[in-house]
Amino acid sequence: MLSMLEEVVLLAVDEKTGKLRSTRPVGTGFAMAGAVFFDLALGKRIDTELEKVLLVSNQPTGVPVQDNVLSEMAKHPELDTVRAWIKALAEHSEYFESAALASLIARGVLRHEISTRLWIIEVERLAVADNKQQLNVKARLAQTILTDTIPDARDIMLVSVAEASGLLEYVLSRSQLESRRDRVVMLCGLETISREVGDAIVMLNDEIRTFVARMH
Amino acid sequence: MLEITEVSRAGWRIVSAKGRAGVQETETLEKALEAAAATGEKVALDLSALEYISSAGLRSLLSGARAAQTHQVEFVVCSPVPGVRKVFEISGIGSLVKIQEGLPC
Repeated sequence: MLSMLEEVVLLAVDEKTGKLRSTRPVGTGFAMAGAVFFDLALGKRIDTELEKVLLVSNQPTGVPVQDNVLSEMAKHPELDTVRAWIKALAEHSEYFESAALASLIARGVLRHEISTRLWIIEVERLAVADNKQQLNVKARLAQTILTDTIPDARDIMLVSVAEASGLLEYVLSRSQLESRRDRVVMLCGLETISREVGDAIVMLNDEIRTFVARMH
Repeated sequence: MLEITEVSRAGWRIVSAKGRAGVQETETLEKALEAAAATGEKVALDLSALEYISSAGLRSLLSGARAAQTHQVEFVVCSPVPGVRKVFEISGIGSLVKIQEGLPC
């Protein structure tokens, strides 16, 4: 089974261009931090309350990204809120992204291709070698959003991470998303981690708007 | 620590949870709710003696509600104490699971 981080990075791979895509680049760092936290929660290494995060066990998971975060959490017990950790971890989003891509390539889900254009310019792209996993992620997102059933916890997490990353637009049509906006908002509010990711994105957007307004 | 007691009454399987529902207790709560749903009776989760619930506990509760959905039986959460009710209100879990004061029977 892929990790939450791997699933969201895989969802971001554009099959046509071989590049990573997002309609909300500002949120992607926070979303990836949230995905790692969800992986740790699913692995029963952390638990969360309304604001706080509890390190339940720092027993290694065997996944370097997750184990590095666990190690950092053990070193910094003074950071005890989900928000503080999401902000801190978001600064390492490039590491999370490259680790997830490397793992997806190692698993044979993605393939790293280098081609040559105009005889000399090397162009790198990611090819989906096995599209079953990407289709599975998309199907679970569609099922979770478009029906009124009680979703699996993992799929609730997936919706919130995909929403924060601006990736739902690549899974469902605009009209589908508009008609199910309330459902998406409700699902994103269920987990402390996704609420804090959402709040962090709103705060960053506000800071950017304030900065731009000052420039003018 | 989570203590589970169960009783059947008037077509309802009443599962009472006492103590805490954190990450250590998720398996106990999930198994109890899944077994209750599998009886085919309607399931009432009595939380009047549950003092604490974390995100992991909420997921267990949702898992139980999913099991009830699979078995096509009604599922209702009853009498959460104020601290637990606050978690329910902030998470919005009431959109997916029926929450009420008092037991159904």
